[in-house]
Amino acid sequence: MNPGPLVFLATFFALATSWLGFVVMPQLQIGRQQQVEIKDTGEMYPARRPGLAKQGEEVYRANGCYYCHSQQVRPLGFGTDVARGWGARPSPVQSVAQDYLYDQPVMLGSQRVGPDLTNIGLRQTNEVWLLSHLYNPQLTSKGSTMPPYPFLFMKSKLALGEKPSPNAVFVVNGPKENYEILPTDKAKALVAYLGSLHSEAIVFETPPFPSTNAPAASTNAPVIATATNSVPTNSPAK
Amino acid sequence: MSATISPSQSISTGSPQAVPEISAAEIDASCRAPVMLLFLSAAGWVLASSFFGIIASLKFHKPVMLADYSWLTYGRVHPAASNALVYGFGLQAGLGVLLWLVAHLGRTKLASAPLVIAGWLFWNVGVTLGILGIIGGDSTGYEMLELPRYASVPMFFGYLGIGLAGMLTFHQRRERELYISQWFLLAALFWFPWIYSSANLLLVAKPVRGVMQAVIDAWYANNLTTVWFGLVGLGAAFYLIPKITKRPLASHYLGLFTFWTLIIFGSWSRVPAGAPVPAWLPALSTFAAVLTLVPILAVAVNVKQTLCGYSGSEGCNPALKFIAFGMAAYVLSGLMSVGASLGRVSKITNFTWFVPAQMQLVIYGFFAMTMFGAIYYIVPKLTQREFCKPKMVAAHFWLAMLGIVLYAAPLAIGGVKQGLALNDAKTPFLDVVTGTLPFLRASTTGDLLMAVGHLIFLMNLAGLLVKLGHASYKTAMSLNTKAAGVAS
Amino acid sequence: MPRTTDEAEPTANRSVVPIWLIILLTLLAYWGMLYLNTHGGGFSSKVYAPYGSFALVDDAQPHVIGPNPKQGLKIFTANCAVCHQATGFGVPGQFPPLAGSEWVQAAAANRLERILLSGLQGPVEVKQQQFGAVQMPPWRDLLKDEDIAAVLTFVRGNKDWGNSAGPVTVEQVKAIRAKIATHPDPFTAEELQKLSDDE
Repeated sequence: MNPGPLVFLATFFALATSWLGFVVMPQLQIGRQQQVEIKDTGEMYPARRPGLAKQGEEVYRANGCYYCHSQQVRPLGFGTDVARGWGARPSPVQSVAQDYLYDQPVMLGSQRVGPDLTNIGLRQTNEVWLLSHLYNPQLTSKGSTMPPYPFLFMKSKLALGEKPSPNAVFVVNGPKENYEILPTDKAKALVAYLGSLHSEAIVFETPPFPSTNAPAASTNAPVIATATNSVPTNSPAK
Repeated sequence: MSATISPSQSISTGSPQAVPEISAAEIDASCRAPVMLLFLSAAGWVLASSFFGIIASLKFHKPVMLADYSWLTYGRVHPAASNALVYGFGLQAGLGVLLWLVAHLGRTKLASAPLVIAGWLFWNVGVTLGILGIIGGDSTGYEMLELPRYASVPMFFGYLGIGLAGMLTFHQRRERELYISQWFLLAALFWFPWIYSSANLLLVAKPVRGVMQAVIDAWYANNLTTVWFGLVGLGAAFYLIPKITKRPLASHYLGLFTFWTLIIFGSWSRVPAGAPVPAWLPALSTFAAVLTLVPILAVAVNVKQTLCGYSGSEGCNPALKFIAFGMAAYVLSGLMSVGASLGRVSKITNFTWFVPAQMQLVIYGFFAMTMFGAIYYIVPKLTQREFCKPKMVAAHFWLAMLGIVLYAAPLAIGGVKQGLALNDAKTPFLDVVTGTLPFLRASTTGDLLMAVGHLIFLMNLAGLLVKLGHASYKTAMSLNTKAAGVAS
Repeated sequence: MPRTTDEAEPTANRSVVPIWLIILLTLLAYWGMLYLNTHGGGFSSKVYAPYGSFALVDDAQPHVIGPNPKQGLKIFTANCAVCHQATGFGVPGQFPPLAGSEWVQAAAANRLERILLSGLQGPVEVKQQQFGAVQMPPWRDLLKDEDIAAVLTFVRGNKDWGNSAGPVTVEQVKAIRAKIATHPDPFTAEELQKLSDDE
């Protein structure tokens, strides 16, 4: 008997099992998700990124920001993600597949050399702060280990008495030279992308805490997905 | 598999009895050019990987270092280092060793060496383009699969060329019965094209939507590191340990048991607990990861029993030292991976430096070290020359061993400390980060030691080639100047 | 097959796999099954950690929204739209409007629930229009509590009609149904206006 085909069959069997379990089955379950409607606001979640933020996603990818920053908040009971204020959902479940529908590529990240950025668009809405942080993290967060990204900015000389541009991130009024630091299009796009990072909408998979369930709290209850979502569109539980 | 003629041989096709036995020297001669090319470029890439790795490491000493250049930013040199190590060194060294082993175990010459050389060319063009692409900002954004499309296409075809030559060599083997290593190597040959093409099709060519990308990326990365590296590394070790010590492998069946459990449980993806995917995916991953304890222990038992009581003259054989260290790292990294997959531990270690420490222990401590050992064993046979300076081989071993220990140990310990601090909500995040800096800086020492080791590795190989070239030049000269009969 | 020792390819003994390794494999597989059972979420696409099953996630859904508005629309179209019209404006002089109605949008839904369960007869004033002799039939035998909660939630919260009152829960309907057991006849507007919000 020639054992060659047997080795091939063994390989085929093992790889096919793994392929079915970890590629085909999850693809059937969560690979065809659609936007869901959020009750109250009637908006569709998640929203598509506007053009500039989409360009910023490319900057984020090209410069490998995801090697240090994760974009996934672990659920309650998994570390202190919620306690550190990285999550925005009043729910034990935090990040879910629905959040990443329009990410291309999906950059979950595997390290937390820097803080999680899942909801940076909610936490830090000051664009100037973000630009300054990218230009030189020490300006905004003393002692940060993040490298500066001066190549996302340009230096522009200022004539004597000339007023700096309103976009200037940093202005130097030295005795020898006056200049201002202006963000390039890439920096602006990256900041737009960071602003677009938020996942606080309550969907079926992330039921809110019971305390927010009480009828009395209904008026200020968080946005809630319509019950259309409660009929699992992808695959039933059984 | 005994030294006597196996009964299956007489019924094998091509009737090898009719043709004369092929000597090991002839097999080596058929492998010489293609396998040496693979080894040399692997040695070049591992040095390049060190170069990028050191730049990345320096960023933790001083973040502003080299910050003015976009192509030297951490998020680019870090993946350049890991891709150069995995695809530049790992795959090429692995394939070179695989081809040589398949030819020797099949007692046949390497089939279609030109195909291998063409594959080698495609592969290296691909990896070069890809690393330049990452440096230039063209990374795909998927960890372990960063090489852009224009790199992965030539690489895929390069692999097909080399893989096809491996298949043909296996097919024309004269020894029909399989030694345990052939199971591992043959499976590895099939494994890579499947996972590489699937991952590239589903992530790069026609990307799936949403978080499925991360799921498929995790599936691919795990299949590459756990299964492909595992199969090739163990296949080589199960051949070389008995070969060098001249003792039989403790158990063929235990080897087969390792093979089956590794390909079945090892191939199930490593989605960490708490990932933004339905709960069953991380749960099934944990299930499979815990079951890989079985192949890990099976390897440990098999290797220990084979080497038990061994005190032969080959004890200081550098190849054996490399491989023995590789086996120890395999068991240790495997235990770390099993531990880190358990919910309670994963809550601490996930997102910390413990994970890259474990990963580097697999890729470098286990796989690269085993490949170094195999290369040091194979290359003298290919060139029929001994290394000019055996001390330099020993130096490489000590540098590589100390390097990986000094790299992985601080990161693993620092990672656990980081995880504990991260899980204490009262510790400010910045304190958590700065707390890891001493460990990260310590690991730079490991990077530097490994880099010097890689330089010596390249010099060792190049030295042998120069010796070979010099000798063949002299032979050619003497043949030219003297009569042909004198040479004999 | 004569070979020099160096050329001899390695051999392997045929000793068996240690039994403890097989036992370990079995035990780990058994543990794994138990683990999957508790942590696997029944392989549902909707179950994320820390939830263990689809039923738990379903139970945790906010019942303040409770009744399904889609279901409410269905019931409204089938039963109510004939008189009150799909627009919710009713028919002047005959069927009172629901859109913008103060009866519909009262903070407490107890009167509205009574009307739906037991019906309404006699004169009533809605949006400063007089309706002389309305004859709203009782629905208590025709609609289940869930359906009543759903349709009232739909009517009260219908933004297209300009309504924005809070939802009605099944529990509330159940409570009112129990209270009106002693009141088999349709209510009159006067009777209802006498009720306090928590009755």
